[in-house]
Amino acid sequence: MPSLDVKKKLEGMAGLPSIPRAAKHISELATTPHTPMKRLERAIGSDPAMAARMLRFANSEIYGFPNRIDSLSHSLILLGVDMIRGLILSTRVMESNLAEAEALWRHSLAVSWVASELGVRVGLKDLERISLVGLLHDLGKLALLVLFPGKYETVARKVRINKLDSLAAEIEVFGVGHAEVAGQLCQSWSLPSSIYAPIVHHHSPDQAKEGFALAAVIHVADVIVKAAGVGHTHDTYVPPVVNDAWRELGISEDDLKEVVFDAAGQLRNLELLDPFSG
Amino acid sequence: MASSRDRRRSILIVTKEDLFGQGMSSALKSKGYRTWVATKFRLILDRVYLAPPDLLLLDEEATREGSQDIITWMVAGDFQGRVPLIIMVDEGGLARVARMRRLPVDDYLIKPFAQEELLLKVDLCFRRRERQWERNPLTLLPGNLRIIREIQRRLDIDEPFAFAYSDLSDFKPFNDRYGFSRGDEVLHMTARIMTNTVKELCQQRGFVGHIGGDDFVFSTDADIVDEVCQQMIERFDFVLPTFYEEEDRERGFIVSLDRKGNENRFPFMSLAIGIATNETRKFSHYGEISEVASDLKNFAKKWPGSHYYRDKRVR
Repeated sequence: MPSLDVKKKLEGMAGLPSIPRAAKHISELATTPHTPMKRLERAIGSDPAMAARMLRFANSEIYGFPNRIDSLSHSLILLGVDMIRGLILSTRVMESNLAEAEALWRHSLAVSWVASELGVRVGLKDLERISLVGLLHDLGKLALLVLFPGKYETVARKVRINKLDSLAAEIEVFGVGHAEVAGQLCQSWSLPSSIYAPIVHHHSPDQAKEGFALAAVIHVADVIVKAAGVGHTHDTYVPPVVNDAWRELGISEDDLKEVVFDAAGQLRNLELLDPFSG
Repeated sequence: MASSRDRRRSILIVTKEDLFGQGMSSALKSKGYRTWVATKFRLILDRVYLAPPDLLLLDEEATREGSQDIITWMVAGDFQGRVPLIIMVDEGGLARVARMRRLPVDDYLIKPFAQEELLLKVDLCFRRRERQWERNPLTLLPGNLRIIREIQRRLDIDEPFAFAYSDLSDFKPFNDRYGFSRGDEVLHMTARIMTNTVKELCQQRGFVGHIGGDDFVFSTDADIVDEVCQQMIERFDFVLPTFYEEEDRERGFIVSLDRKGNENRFPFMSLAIGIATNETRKFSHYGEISEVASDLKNFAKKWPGSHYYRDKRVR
């Protein structure tokens, strides 16, 4: 399948759907009077589709600062309460492939969390952006799953039977991988490069021209989460870490063991991964 | 950014009767309008949010499908200026239009109507808006005439209110360093933060206007103005660094040219607000209250960082 078809479909896509539980929880908060903004922000920041929706609208041409806003909290301040509410109530909800979408959602939350932990250890400053990019890093997968549910099955099969990693399998099936798909989406939504560059390069941080450190952190976090077996992303084995990522981040083996150990413990804690359970 | 005059006006038609909508659409298109027809609001929300129409032609029944909030939001949108609303009703519907309090209806058409009538109503609606809704071409906030009219109205009814005059300190060196288009982005950001804050804390009783350049004004109930200013300043200071490049953000200042053309260090921009209220002293004209607020704003600029200063004199 030529990547051009994927590109066309992406352009015609209205927006990514949220998983029903997340959408329900967020809508309830949004329609409850006097919900503190911080609480609403936490809820929105737990759903990749909803968070992306807010960023997209805050960066839209009509507000006058496209490609500028790279933080969820800034987006919400600039959109204002009425607009946020409108965007939440009019959001799309995932209707099929729910199990897949939920697994992907768990994976994204876990990467967001582990990336923040790593970010602290390697001394990165903008923790909010790290956790946001972690949350959004697999937007491309969600888009492919929504646009081509049947074909995405084929990817899963190739991963299982041919022992490919999911990126390679996607390229075989779609002619393009999820990282690049996410890049196209982010660009069509006028998101700033500080968000999309690390998303595009989360499998290839060594090729990132901008935001290497963040791409590397997301990359390592992605591998750790896959190793810990949280959520799933079709990959049945743990992909290798790009060499430079370790070196450049300056993580020692001991450090890493600690992060993996901490992460494994934390990730087992389902409370953390299910902010909508209570 | 192009002002609304530079492009063709867009009209959104919402009606369940698709054929009827298409008929209206082709008549309007023949007059050079851009139109789009929707049978259901929910299907077009993203588009409405991204590019609000210049006029809304609404079948009455569309107001019953749980879309009132969106319609109200769109019609009241502070940024694009209020979108005029023409409602289409059956002959028996006039009394219902008269009772519509939540929807600010501008005009009505009784179905069935002739094409000429449709075109004339639409044209008159736009002409009326041009007369009444003068606005700043950059931020689309109300401009000087509307500011004067609105503040004078508040002075005349003689209820307590607060009037604030505000500008950005160190805006000029920022423009010199980053260029006008980045400066415009900051003005857009400031306009949004002001409007969101005023609206969240004062709903429809608040007012925000853009005098020009980096000069803004707003008006709120007198008892809430401190909270409005504190929130506004907090949000402005929080979002502002995004508009600076990383190297400047790291060192916390910019290097730009001063008035004499010499290179100099300048702090990040800050928001200065001066507030006058008619609680303890009497103002009869816009000019008076605006001069006092502007002086207090200059006073607020004497300290580094964002500040507001409130008039405490009694006269």
